[in-house]
Amino acid sequence: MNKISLSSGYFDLDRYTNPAKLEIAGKTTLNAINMCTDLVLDIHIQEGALLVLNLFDYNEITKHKIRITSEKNSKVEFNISFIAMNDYSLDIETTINGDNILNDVKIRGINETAAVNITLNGIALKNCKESVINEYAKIINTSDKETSLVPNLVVNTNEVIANHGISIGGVNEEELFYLMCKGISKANAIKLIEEGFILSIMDNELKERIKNILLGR
Amino acid sequence: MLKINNISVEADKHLILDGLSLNVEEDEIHVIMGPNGAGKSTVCKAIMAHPDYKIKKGFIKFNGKTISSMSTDQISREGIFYLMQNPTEIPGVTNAELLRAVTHEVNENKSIFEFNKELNQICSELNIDKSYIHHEINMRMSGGEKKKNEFLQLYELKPKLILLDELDSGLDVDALKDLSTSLLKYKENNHASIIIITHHTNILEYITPDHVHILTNGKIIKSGDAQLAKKIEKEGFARAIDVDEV
Repeated sequence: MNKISLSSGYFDLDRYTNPAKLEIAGKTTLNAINMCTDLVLDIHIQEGALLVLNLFDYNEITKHKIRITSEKNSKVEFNISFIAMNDYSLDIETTINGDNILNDVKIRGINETAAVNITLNGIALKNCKESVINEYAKIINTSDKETSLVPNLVVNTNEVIANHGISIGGVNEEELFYLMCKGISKANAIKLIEEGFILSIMDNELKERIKNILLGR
Repeated sequence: MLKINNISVEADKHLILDGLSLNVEEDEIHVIMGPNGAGKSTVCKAIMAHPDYKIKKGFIKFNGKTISSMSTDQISREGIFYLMQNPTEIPGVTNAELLRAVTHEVNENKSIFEFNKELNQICSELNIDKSYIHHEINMRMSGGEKKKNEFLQLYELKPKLILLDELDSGLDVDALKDLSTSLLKYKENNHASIIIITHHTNILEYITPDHVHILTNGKIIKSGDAQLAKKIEKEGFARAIDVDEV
């Protein structure tokens, strides 16, 4: 098994590797501009660990399956941004396996031309206490293909707070009007809004790299 | 400079402005006052071609061009700046990115160095923190900070006509005084015209208008000089309007 252990640091996930399992200890930030088209990640958050995982997807075809299992006293901030250029499938499952855990998943995506299929599963196992699961996903959909976003919360305890919020819509009309009021054409204003939308949840260092990638968009 | 000729404007199938006319010349300050719901903000939105506000009758010209048939971005590039009552927040897009995008729209050949230098100078001039330049547009800002942020854009975009919709809302006394001073300085240096939309006279303590108009029921029903604003402040809208002028 391709297993990588990361502990207390700032790492880049090589954009072409496809590790099967990541072991996280300490305070770890993992940034990934993902070029894998078929990413399978199994992430284990050890007791007391903190993981900030920023993942940006800009692929022709993408099919991801990401599993995160958190042990007690740990925290995960998982931010995913994507521009779906072709069919995009994302299956995320976060599992709380102990007390005092925070799992925070944010997804921002742009769907211009593709069929997008996202499943978000947040699971709290029995006897977990004082833990929180948050799942928030927003998609700007300008495609005439289907965008499917399914949030699931499976909670086996009454001492866990689990939240989810999703939205699928077009470009915000007031934001568009504001930018056009400054002299920006409609097409360029939409591009700015879309890129700002997906960048706003990314790490600052990663933002600059993503902007460079998007220059030729 | 700006000629609004007998416009009627609808929003959501409701007639909001009904035969409104207004002429604004270069270097003039006009104030449009009126009670809540009179249609004051609609004047700005109609000028800027907001998609929810449709001009059903009449036209608007700016420097001889009919802008009422132009798109919002074209109108802005003609030299009109609209400062909204509550400026919109745009996540992930910085002021620098917005302003850089505008320079690309007008094919202005300005190097990054020159551009940054200009923005830094503006921040010093306006006494605002340089971090505003790379701040996401109006995000996590107080009402006053948002208005200052808009002034950074205003100074860089160098409009010929400024539309101020309730500038004083969300501002404390000091902030209102500072922004009024910056506004007058801009006007003096650029011979710009200003339309101020307000229902209070707070801002008029710092800015003396050339013309004051009272708008009710979608029409300007009375115009005068700065004395009219004082009369409104003292007597209220109802008494400031002479019955035979309604």
